[in-house]
Amino acid sequence: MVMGEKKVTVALVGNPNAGKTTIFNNLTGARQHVGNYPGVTVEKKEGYRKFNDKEFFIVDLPGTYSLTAYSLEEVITRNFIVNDKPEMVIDIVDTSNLERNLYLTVQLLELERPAILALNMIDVANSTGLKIDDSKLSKYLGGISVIRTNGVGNEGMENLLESISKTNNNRNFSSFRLNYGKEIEAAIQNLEPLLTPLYKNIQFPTRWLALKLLENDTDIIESVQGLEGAQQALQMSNELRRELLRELGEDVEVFIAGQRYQFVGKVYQHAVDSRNVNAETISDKIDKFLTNRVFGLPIFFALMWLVFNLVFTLGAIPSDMIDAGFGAFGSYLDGIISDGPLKSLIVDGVVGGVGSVLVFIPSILLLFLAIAILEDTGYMARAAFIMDRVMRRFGLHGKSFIPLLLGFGCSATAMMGTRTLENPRDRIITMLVSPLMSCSAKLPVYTILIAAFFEEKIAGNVLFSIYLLGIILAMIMAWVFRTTLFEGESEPFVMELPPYRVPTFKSVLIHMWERSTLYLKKAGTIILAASILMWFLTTYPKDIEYAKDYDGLLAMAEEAYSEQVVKEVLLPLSIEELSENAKVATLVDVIQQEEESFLEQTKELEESSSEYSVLMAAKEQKKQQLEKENTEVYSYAEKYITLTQSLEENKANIGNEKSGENLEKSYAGQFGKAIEPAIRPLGFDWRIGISLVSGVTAKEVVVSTMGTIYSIGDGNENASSMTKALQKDEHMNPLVAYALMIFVLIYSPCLAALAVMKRETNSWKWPAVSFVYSTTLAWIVTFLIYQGGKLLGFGS
Amino acid sequence: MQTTIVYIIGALAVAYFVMTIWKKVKGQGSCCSSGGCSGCGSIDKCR
Repeated sequence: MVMGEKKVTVALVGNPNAGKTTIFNNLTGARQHVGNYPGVTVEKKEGYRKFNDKEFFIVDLPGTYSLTAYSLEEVITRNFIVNDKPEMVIDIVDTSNLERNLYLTVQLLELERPAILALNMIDVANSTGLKIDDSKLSKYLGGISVIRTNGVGNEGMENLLESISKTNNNRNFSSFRLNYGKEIEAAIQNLEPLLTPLYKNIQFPTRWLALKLLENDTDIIESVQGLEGAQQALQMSNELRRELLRELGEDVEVFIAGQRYQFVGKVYQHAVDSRNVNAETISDKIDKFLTNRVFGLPIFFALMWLVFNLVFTLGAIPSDMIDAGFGAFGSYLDGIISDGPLKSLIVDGVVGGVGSVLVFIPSILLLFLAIAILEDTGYMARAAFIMDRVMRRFGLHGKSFIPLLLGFGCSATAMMGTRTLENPRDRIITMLVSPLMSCSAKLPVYTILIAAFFEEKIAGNVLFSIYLLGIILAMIMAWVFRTTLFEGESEPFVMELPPYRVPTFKSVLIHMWERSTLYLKKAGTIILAASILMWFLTTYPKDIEYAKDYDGLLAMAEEAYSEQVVKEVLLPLSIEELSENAKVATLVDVIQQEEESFLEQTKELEESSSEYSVLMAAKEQKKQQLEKENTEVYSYAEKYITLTQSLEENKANIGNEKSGENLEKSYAGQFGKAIEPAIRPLGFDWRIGISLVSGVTAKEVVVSTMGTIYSIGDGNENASSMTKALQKDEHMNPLVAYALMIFVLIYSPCLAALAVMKRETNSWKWPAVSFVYSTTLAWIVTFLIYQGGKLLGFGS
Repeated sequence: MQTTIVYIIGALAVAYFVMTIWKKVKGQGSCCSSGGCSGCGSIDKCR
C-alpha cells in the first residue's frame, strides 16, 4: 500500500446464514469457517482485498436479524457500524428469503452509512421461480446499489468490488427515509433539535438516535447519558414515549417495528414477483422425511452412529501407520543420541508424549469431515430443530443446540458460541453443560482405550455409547440447573431452516484444514509443553532410595546364568567357550535367526489367526529338520538359547521394576499415590490419576501423559506402542478402560475452556462451579458404572 | 551439558504454559476500551 493511502473499511452485514462468511472468504482469500446454519460467526473477522489500486479492509460481522441490542452478536454488529463507522456497509441478503432479510436492510439504511445490497444465493432464488426487479428494489430503498451474488459459486464478486469502489468514490449516501406516521414523525421532529448538539461527541445520525430513544433502547440511552445536554433530550424522549403510548395504544418499539414490517411488505410486493414460486421445494420434500416427528430423532441418532463407526474403523488404518512411524522414529533417536537426561526427555517425553497424540490426526480429520458434510448440507440446522423438542423438555433453549454442536469440536468454541443466546440464564446453562458434549480432544483417549480393550466389531458402538452418554448427561444436567439454579421457562426457539445444498469440496477442505492445523499447533505448543513438564515430574527427583538393590540383582542374574551355561552346556561338550565348538555356535545362530524372523513376521498377528498357525507350523518343521541334521548337539544349542532368553527376560524384569519404582517415587508418582485412595473406587491406579490431573490442561494430555508414563515405566527407553503397553498393564481391563472413558468424558473442562468461560461470564464463579460439578458428576457416574460392572462380573 | 539443556527446556515450557493461560484469561488485551472491539475477542467492554 502506498504511504498515506487510506484503507476503505467495508463491513459485511446480514441475517444469520445469509452467506456473509462465504463472501468474506471469496473477497479476502481467507479460510474462515462457514456453515449452512445460523450463528457460525460470533466474532467479527477481518481481512484485506486490493482492487483497482484501492485497499479494502473487510470486516465480516456476526449475523443478526435486527439492530436492536438483545443478543451479543447484535451488539457486536451494531457497535461496529455505529462506533467504527465503516466507509461502506454491504448488506448481504438471502434472496430466497428476501422479505424477512429486508427488515435489517431498512435498519441499516437508517444508520446513514453508504451501503450496497448484495442479493446473495440468487441461484437458489432463481431455482424457486422468484423474479426480482433490481431497479425497483433500489428505488424503494433510496437508490442503494443492488448487486446479484452467489457466494458458494464465487459469482458476482467482481461486480461487488466494482460497486464498492464506485460508491465509495461518489460518497453518495442513500436518501432513504421511512415515514413512521404523523405521531412518530412529530415526536422525532421534537427530539432532533435537542440531539443535534450531541452529534459532535457521539456522531450518531440524529434521526436514528431519536428513533432509538423513542424505542427506549437501553444500550443507546446508556451511551448518551453522560453527555452534556443529554438529560434534557432523555427527559423529553420519556415524555414523548408516554404520550405516544397513549395515542398509539401500543408500545412505541412494537409500533415502530410494525411500521418497518409494513414498509418491507410493500417493497417486496412491488419489486418481487413470486407468482411462479414453487409451492414445495426439494428441501421441503427432504424435510418431510428427515424432520419427521416419528423418524426425525432415530435418523439423527443413526447418522451419529454411522459417523462414529466410520471415524473409528477408517481412522484406525492410517493411525496404525503413524503409530509405527513414531515407534521407528523413537528407536532411531534412541540409537543416535548419547545416554543421558536429554535423550530420555526427547524419546520418552517428547516422542512418547506428543507422538501418542499425533497418531490420532486421521480420526480427528474424519470426525470433522463428517461434521463439515452434515453442516454444509444443511442437516445440522435440522438436527437443532429435531433436538429442540427433546431439549425443551429438559429446560434447554433450542438455540443451545448450535453451541452444543460446536462442543463436539471444542468446548471453548462452544462457550463462545453461546453468544447467540439472548437470555443470560440460557447462556450459563449451555456453557455449563457444553463440555459434556465430547470434544475432539477426548477422541484420542477413547480411540486408544477402545483399540486396546475392545473387539473391532464393537469398537464403533462403544465410541457411540460414550458420545450418547454425554448428550444424555447434558440434558439431565440442564434440567437440574434449570430446576435449581436457574428456575424459569426457556424462551421460544425460532430458527430458519436453510435450503439443502451439496457441500462444496473447497468448504469441506477448508474445514478439515482448519481443524488439522489447529490440532498440529496444539500438539506443537501446549501438548509439547505439558509433555515436557510431565517428563520432569515423572523423572525427578533422581536421588531416591530404592527398596531393592537392582544392580546387585542384575549381577546375581548374570552370575547364575554363567554358572548354568558352564554346567549344562560347556562342561558336557568339554569346551570353555561356545565358539570353540563351531557346529553348536552355528546352530545357535541359525535357531536364533529363525526365532527372530518368526517374531518379526507374527508381531501384527493374533495367536488364534490361521496365518499365525501356518507360520508356527513352519517354524516347528524347520526346528525338527535342524534337530534331525544335528542330533548329537541340538539339545545343547537349545539349552543355551533357553538360558540366554531367560537371562534377557530377568534383566528386563529387573529394569522394569527399577523404572517402575523410579516413577512411583517421582514427584508425579508421589502425587498420584496421594490421590489414589480417591480414585481407587473407580478402578483407577495412581498412573491414571496423574494422567487425569494433567489432562485438565488439555484433554489430549491424558494420552500424552500416559505415553510418557508407559514409556518411562517401560525401562528399555524405546517408545513402544501405547496400545500394547496398556494391554500388558495388569491394572487395566475393559471395565476400567470404559470407566476411564466415562470419567474423561465428564470431568472438568480443560483450562482453555475454563478461561474462556471466565472471560465470557466475566466472573470466576462459573468456571469454579463448572470444575466442581463436572468432576463430582464424573466421580459419581464412573463409580456407578465401575462398581455396577464389577457386580455383574465384568472387569476380571 | 545434557542436564543444563534439559533444565532450559523445562523453564521454557513452564513460561509458555503460564503465558498461555494468562492470555486466555485476559483475552487479547483491553483494546475494547477505545475505538471499538477491533479483533480483541472480548465482549464485556464493548458496550
